[in-house]
Amino acid sequence: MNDKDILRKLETIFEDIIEDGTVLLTSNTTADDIEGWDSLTHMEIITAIEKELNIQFTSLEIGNFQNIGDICSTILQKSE
Amino acid sequence: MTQLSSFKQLRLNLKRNMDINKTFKVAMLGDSATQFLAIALRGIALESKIKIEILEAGYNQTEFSILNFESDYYKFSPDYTIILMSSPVWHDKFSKNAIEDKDQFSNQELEQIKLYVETINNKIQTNIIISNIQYEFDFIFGNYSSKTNASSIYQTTNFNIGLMKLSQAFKNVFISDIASLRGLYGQQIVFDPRLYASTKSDFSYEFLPYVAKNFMDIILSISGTFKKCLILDLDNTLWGGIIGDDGLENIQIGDIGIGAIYSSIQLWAKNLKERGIILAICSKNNESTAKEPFLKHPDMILRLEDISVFVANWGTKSENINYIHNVLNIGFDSMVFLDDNPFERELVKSLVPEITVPELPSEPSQYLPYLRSLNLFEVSSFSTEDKNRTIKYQEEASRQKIKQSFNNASDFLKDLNMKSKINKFDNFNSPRISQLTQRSNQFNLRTVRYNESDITNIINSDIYTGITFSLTDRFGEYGIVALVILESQNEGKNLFIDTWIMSCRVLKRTLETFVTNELILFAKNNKAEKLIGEYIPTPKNIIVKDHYKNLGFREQDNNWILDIKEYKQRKCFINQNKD
Repeated sequence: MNDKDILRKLETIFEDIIEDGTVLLTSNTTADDIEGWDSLTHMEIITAIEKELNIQFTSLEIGNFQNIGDICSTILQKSE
Repeated sequence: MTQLSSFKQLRLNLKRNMDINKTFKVAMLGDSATQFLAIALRGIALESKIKIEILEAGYNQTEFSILNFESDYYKFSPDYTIILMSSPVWHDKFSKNAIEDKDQFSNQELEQIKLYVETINNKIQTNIIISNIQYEFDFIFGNYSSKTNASSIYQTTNFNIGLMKLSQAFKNVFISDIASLRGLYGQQIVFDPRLYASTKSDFSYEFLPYVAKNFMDIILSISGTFKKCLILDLDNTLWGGIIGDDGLENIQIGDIGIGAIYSSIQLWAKNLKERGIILAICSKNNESTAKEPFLKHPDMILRLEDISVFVANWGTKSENINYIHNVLNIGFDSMVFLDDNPFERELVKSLVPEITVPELPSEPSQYLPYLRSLNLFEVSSFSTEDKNRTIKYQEEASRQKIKQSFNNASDFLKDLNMKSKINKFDNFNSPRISQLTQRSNQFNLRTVRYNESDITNIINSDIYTGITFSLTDRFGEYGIVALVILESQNEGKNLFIDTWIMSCRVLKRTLETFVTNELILFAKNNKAEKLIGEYIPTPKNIIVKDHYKNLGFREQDNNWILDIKEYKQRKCFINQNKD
C-alpha cells in the first residue's frame, strides 16, 4: 500500500461519514479545508479508518494529527 | 441488543428532509460534552416525526444557566430540560474529596440538584429530566465498599436513591435511568475511554443512540405518546406447543419442558397488566380450545380475568386486531402485537402499519430479554386507577361481542378451500394412528387406546374398518385430522363406531359433517342399515358430549342411532381430495 492507495481509501471513508459529495484529499489537507470535517465528526472518521484498515491509533497519535499527511504516514508505519 | 439507527445515521437524519408532526423545545444542560447526545436525540426524534429545537448550554454551564435568571436557558423557555449528569465527571469529583468528606458527597450533590429544580420551578414551566449516575467500580475499598459510606459504590447508590425521592417529590421531575441501561449493555459498550479522553463524550458512538432513545422515550410518554395495550398470540408465544394439537396436558408452561421460558413471558405480561397495560389475546384457534389453559391449566400465570379482549378464531390477525382496536377505542400506535410467527408479524405490519410489532428472536429463551430491552411500555404517571382498567375494557368487550356479526362464518369456511383426503388404515400410517388414539383426549368419543399391533390387527380384520381423514386448506396441510374405527355387528346390519377422534384445531370447520357423510356412504356400500355411536364421558371429552345429537343421531339405550335410509346429506365446506 502506498500514499496514493491510502489517500483513495481515506477519501471513500470521508465521503461515507460526511455524506456531502466528493471529497478530494492531499497530504496537506486539514479540517479547515473540508466542510463537515469538524470536532464532531473527527473521531467518527478516525474510528472508521481504524475499522476499514484494521489498525488502532493511540490517543497520542490522534492528538498529533495536524493534516491528512500525518494520518497517512501513521497508517503506513502501522501497516509495515 | 435492540437494533437502533447508528449514530452516523442519526446525524445524517438532520440533513434529510423528514416528515414532521410535532416540534418540542429541549434544553440540554450538562457537565460533559453534550453535542453528541444532542445530535443523536434530534436524529432519533425525527424518526418519530418530531423536530427537536435544541438549546445547548455549553460545556459545564448547568449551574450558570439555572442560577442566572438572565441566561439563554430561561429565554429559550423549553418544554423539556435535560440535565445530563456525567458519571465520569461525578466520580472524578467524588475521588477528589478528602476521605473524611466522602461520606457526605452524594448528599451535597443532591442538595445542589434540588436547588436547581426549585429554582427552575420558580421561574418557568418545564419538564425536567435528570440522568442518574452509573457505578464506577474503583475497588478502592474492594467488597468492603458496602460497609462504608465513604465508598464510591455507597455514594452512587445513595445519590440515585436521592434522585428517585426527588422525582417523587416533584411532579415535573423525571429520571433517565442510565445506570440501568449501563447494567443492561455493560461498560464495554457504554463507555469508550479514548473517545472520552479526546471529546469528553460520556458515551461511545455505538451507545449514543440508546441514550438518545431513553430520553426520547421519556419525552414521548410525558407528551402523551405511549403504549396502552399488549396483544398476545397464544401457541408458542404464551406457551410452548399448540393447544389444539398437544392438548392441555402437553403444552409447555411451568415445569413442563421449556415451560419456564413461557412462564416468564406470562409473568412479564401480568406485571404490565397490573400497572395498567390492557392485555388482549389474538389467536388462530377455537375460542373454547384457546381459553382452556386459562381456565384449567394449573401453571398458567395469566387467567381470563387478566384479559380485556379475547379473540380466538380462524380469521386473519389483522382483522382481529382491527376488532380489538374498535372495542378498546385506542389508537393503533398505542398497541404492541406479540407473535412468534414471522408470517403473522409481517401480515400485521403491512396491514396495520402504526402498530408496534417486535421482531422476536428465533430462540424463545431470548424473547423476554429482547422485549425488556425495547422498553416498550414507558410511562410518566401511575395510579391505582390504572389497575382497574382491565375490568372496564372487559365490560366493553362483552358488549361489543353481542354486536359482532356472525354472518361471515360460512363465507370464511367457503373461502378456506378445504379438501380432505380419505384413506383406509394401512401399515404406512399405523404409527400415527396409534399415536392419535393414545394422545387424543378432547375430541375422542370413547377414548379407546390402541397400540401399533392393535392397529395392524384392525387392518387385517374383516370385522373392523379404520378410516383416516387428512385436511388441507389455503393456509397449508394439517395431516391426519380425524380417524374413525367401525365395527361390523349383527351380521353387517349395524356399524358400531368404536372410535371417532378429531384434532381440535379443525373444530367448527364442518369436518364432522364431512366424516358423517362419508360414513353413510361406506354403510350404504356395505349394505348396513344403522350407524351406532356411543359417548363415554371422561374428565376431558365434554366437548363431544352432544356430538352425535348435533349430527342427527337419535338416542336409544345409551347409544346413538342413525338410520342410513333416513339420513339426508348435510352441507359442509370440505371437498374430497381424490388424488
